[in-house]
Amino acid sequence: MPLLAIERLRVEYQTRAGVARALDDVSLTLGDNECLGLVGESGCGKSTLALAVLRVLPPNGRIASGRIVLDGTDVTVLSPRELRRLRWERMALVPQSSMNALDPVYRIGGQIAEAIRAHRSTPAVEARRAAGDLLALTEVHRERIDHYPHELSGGTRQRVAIAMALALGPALLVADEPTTGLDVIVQDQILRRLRELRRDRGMAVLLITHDMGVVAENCDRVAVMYSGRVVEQGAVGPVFAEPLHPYTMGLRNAFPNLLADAAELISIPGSPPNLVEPPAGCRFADRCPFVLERCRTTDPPLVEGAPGHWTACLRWREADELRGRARSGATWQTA
Amino acid sequence: MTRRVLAGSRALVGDPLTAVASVGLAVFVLLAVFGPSLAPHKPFETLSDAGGLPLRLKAPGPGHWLGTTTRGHDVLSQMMHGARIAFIVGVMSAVVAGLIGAAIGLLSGYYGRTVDQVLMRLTDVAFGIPTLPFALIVVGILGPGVLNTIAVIAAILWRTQARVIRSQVLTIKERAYIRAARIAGAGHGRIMLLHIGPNILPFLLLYLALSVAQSVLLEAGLSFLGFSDPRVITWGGMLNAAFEAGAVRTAWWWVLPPGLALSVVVVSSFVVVRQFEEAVNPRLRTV
Amino acid sequence: MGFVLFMIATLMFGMFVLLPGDPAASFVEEGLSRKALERQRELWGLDAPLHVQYLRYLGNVATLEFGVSFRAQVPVREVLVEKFLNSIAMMLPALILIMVGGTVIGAYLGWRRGTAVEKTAVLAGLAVESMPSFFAGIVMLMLFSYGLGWLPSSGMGPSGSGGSFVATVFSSDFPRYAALPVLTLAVRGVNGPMLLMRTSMIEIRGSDFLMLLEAKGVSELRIVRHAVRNAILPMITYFGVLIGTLFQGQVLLETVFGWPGIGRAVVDALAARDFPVLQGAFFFTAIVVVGMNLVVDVLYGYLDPRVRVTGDEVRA
Repeated sequence: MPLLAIERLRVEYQTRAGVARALDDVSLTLGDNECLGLVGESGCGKSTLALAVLRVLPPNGRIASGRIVLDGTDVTVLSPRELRRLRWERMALVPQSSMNALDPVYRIGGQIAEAIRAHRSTPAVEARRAAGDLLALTEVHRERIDHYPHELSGGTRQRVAIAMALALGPALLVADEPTTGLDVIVQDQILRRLRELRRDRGMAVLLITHDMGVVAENCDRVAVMYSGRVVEQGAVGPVFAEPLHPYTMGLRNAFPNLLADAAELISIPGSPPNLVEPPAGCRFADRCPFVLERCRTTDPPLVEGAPGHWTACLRWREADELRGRARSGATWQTA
Repeated sequence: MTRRVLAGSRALVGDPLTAVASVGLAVFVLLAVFGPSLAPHKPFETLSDAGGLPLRLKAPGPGHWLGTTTRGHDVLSQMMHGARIAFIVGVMSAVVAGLIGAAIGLLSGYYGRTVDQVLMRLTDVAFGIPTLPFALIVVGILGPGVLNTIAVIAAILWRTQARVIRSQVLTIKERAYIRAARIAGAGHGRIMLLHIGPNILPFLLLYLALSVAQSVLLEAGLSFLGFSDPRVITWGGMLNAAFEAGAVRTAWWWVLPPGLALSVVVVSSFVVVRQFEEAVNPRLRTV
Repeated sequence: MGFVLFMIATLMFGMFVLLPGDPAASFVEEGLSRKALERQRELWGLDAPLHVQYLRYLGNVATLEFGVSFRAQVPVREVLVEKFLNSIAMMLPALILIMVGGTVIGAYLGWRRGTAVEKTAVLAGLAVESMPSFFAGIVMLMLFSYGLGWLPSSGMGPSGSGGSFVATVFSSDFPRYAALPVLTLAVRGVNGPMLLMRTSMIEIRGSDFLMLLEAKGVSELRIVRHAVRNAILPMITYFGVLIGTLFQGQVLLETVFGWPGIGRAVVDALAARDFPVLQGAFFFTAIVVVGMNLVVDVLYGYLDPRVRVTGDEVRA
């Protein structure tokens, strides 16, 4: 049994324009000690997934259907009390922007200790010591314990957020863009430390990012999301080396250093469809250079194109040929 | 700008509360214009009964639908006359204060540096002046009168507008087209009036509308304390007369009409202004 | 603060020394006591050139020396301290009610946004705040004093008791006399802080850090505490301004409730042309208004660690 199994999850937001389906039948699994990368453009629903797993969606969002099973328990049906017990003990969150995610008027040590004391009857002095240890663990100087968030650099704040997430030794760490906005060197340091901690503590990590490079270096498996759906998933190696979905091929072009030979940076023109009234058929159809007539009418099912490698493209059998064409910038301009 | 005002007008009709408030304001304006000619009696006319005796402190009844005062004056007629002064003082003070505030805010925000320093220190001083005591003393020294009242209210209320307009100008000033105009050699006056002016107009109107209610309240306060021209009837003056005559104990019909009229005018303008504010500044909508 | 007060003193000099012509002449006309007049003449140095008068005036104001009350024949400072304390005796209980009530109700409304209770409260608050304060006071009198006969209508205590400030305020009669003015002040004043706290809570409610607190499995009570602690920051500024505003408006309610406070002193002094008291009362009020702005800055810096270093941001 996997640690986390997300089954046909649908999340909807009530918006002025109508109901937007941010996640549409998303299914994922994550094993113990595994790192699953979740990539896609902004607005594809990857952050929504993170919030849904911890059940902290904003007031206008709700889980419409599907299950989120952690350790065999369906999180979506838990009472607030049961949920509160589960949170942070079994699953913790490293938020998207620790600038806003730490309370600006409380000292960071207090905020870490608060997480511990919300779950365990640890004396304040001990919780504070534990907070110091956790800071040290993420390479933040212990003396920073009494600092306010605004006194720290972006990188340090992010380390604090990770330290806080590790406070109770969760089995699952959901990291939502944990290094976005940081400079490359700091980003590498933090991700390296996160890798080590995962190895030492046997944590599973759901790593949400728009950066394919980050996934390639950190994750075992990857799921590519587009417009509220998983369009391709599998082990990192095969998915990046031989993508079966045109969107993944396009994404790969946007990160040229992933490819041994290609130097050209090609972006995918256009933007994702409206989530309130999504088009019929494949949602990527409007931007896909390889679109066929039937793509616009038939919803492509997720099929296992290679062992353990799934894709939601009707033309997955022609992937080898399409991949070649996708390397050329001209292909994308005609789309 | 036109679009914003249109959006504002649409919002006015959409919300029932705002619709009611708009009606309240409309009645106020109509009263201010036509009230004195429609009123059954002159404000200081003493009503008498058939035997020629003055009708003192009569409860509402035929011929005096809102009752009479201790001097036999018709409360309804006083009410209708009072609307005009409230309207004139409210609007004029707000307009004058708005113009002063806009000018100071515009100059301060546009020129910055020394001009800004001087004008903003001046504004700080204005914020330090206790409003009602200042108005009392000035009116007490200069003597009561509609013009003095307007002048003293305007002399205080401009400070809010000045700060608001200045902060608006500061953001607008940095926009690309303003810079472009400057590079193209447009003069300072031209930039301020033609390029920045239209952008601050919605905010100016908004705060101007807000200060109408403030002016009405200030005028009423001055009149209530007895600092108004005794020859002119005002709502605050009516309450002053009722209070001084000790009629609060008995003559509810003398107290409630002017008090409620003031409250309705103020609450209506708050409601309407807030709706306009949402239209002008869409960011507020979430709140 | 010093500059603002200096400018206000200058403004006063303009109003009192220049506008009414020769004050000495008008005093004589009013048949004022010779002694007080002589004292005033000496204080203002009315025979000296204008700039000397001005400098002397500033010196006097700086030492809060306003001379002797024409009417009461006692130093203005003594008169003012008593009036000021009387005003405080009415404002302080009201302010406490406003702060606590506004914060608690506002926080509740913001947290429970969109419910019928919230909408009703917002409307009711708006309606009450739109009533002119003196009218609200009169309505309170009509209801509770004249109508139901529960509470006295005027003054700080039974007439003729005339004890010291401490004796009056701590007498068992005081609460009954203070109830109506304090309630009127509080009911009208609570709307602003309530709405601000509500808005502030609504803004804070969408914050990422509250989401993270929820994710941390912290109890709702603690989350609300974090929200309130953050939402309360703008309230500090507001309270300072509110104290200033209420203080300036004291004259109206003090008139309605026959309360011998500093606002009433302005009106009485104006009517009696008791210029020393008038200036003193005006300047005293200005000190409160300006002083509150300063207190706000300091307090804000203390409560919001982000502005502690610079302290400039709150000025804007």
